[in-house]
Amino acid sequence: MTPTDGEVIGRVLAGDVAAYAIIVDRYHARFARFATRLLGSQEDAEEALQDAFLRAYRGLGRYQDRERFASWLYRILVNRCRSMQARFARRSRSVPDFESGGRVAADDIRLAGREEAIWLIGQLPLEQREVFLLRFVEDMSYEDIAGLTGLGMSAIKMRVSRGLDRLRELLGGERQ
Amino acid sequence: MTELPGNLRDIVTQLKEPVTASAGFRERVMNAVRATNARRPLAWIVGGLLAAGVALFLLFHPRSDIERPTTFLLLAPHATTVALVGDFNDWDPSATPLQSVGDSAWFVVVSLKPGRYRYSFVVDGQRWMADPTAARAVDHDFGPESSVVTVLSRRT
Amino acid sequence: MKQLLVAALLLAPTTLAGQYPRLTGRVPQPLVSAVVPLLDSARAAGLPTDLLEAKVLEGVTKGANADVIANAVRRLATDLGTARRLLGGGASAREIAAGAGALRAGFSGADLERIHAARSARDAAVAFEVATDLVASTVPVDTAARVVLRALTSGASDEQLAQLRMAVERDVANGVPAPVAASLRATLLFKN
Repeated sequence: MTPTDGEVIGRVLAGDVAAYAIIVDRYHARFARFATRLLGSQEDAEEALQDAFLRAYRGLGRYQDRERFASWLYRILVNRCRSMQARFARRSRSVPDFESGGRVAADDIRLAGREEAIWLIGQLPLEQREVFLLRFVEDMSYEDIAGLTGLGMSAIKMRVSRGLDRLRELLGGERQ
Repeated sequence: MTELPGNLRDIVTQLKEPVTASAGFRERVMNAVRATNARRPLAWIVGGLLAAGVALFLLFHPRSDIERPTTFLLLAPHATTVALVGDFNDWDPSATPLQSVGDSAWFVVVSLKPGRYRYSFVVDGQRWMADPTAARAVDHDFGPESSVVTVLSRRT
Repeated sequence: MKQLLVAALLLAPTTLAGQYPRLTGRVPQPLVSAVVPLLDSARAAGLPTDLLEAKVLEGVTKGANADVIANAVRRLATDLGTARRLLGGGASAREIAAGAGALRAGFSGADLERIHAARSARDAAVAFEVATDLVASTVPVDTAARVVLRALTSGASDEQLAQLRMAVERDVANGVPAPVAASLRATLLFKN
């Protein structure tokens, strides 16, 4: 029997701190790839995840709707990723990881592997990258994305479509 | 997946490659969780004092003047000494020696205020080397080329 | 009387360089006599002198002779004066220095004025510096000016300009022709 998030949180709040490890494992499995692709680096993603787990833990007592924990944690995580990204952008002599794979040829951007794929989605604004990853990499339905992000369906579809346009443009038009 | 054009499918396949937790991730998080439990009242006091200190510091020091640690790195395999000279240390070859790490790498970290500085390396007290990883200065009035480093302020 | 004269002559270097403590003890007497008047007139004109002092010290460390150093200082002082005139009285020291650097890199006075105007009320120093660095990366002056202006008119921040510079430097290191790298990066970064 797998305990629900609400049951685990109940145990943690009753003093069984070790039970929080269930939450950590569960949501690392669910969000690690997403955060890694969002930030372009696993190291940064784990820093953001660790931070999000810690903040969620500190806020557990204040959080009422325990079965909506996933959505709450997700929003903390995306906020952490956003501020980490802002921090990277401010560094004057270093660039985000996803930049380092960028190889630009005169008339095209050739895609050779994961580095280039990461570079390419790194060109999307964070809002578009976020929904693109949820939709196509995590294979979530629009309904599920709406539930997780708290965004409206039309906003999500708009971001996905803008992201696709931008990627197509970067790949050099409509070539298949 | 039908809405995904063909050339993007390859990219998505690359991005779908699973990511496994690095060793000890769960333990690190759980240790942090336990630590936050134990230190909570103290953390509030220390955190509050720190925040007040930082706020006061920022109030009296405009952000643009805060020095930022800047790393200079050179690969010089057969060097005995490497020095950094530039606008920030009066081009004084004795002011900022680099430390050697491993077989061939030399580095030094210098705190610089936001601005733009011309600099160069002096290898073994006599050989001039511009930084191969940085932009070259356009004014080389005295023979050996120099490099340029730009330190941005945090907020512009 | 004779003794006083000797004492005055001996003290001269210290007094001359006294206004510029960075030079004291580093710069030989003939060079002091050559550059201190240049520094004095720059200072009297309200120009930042620290770059001029750094130029003197760079020349000394690099073993250049006094004439070469004095000429380099004179040239830099002229560029600083031109930049200040073009950018107006409100320009910051860094902006004037960056403007002088851009002039030295080959940008025209008109380029400087256009970049300054596109920055409107904000400090244009980083814009001048990035333009200069692009030229150092072998981007032609007119392309560099166009690319920086494009970035500024689309509201680029200093960080974004620095990002542009880094991306172009990396592309050029990877073998992309500099003008292509500059135009393409500007298109990718400043489309929206």
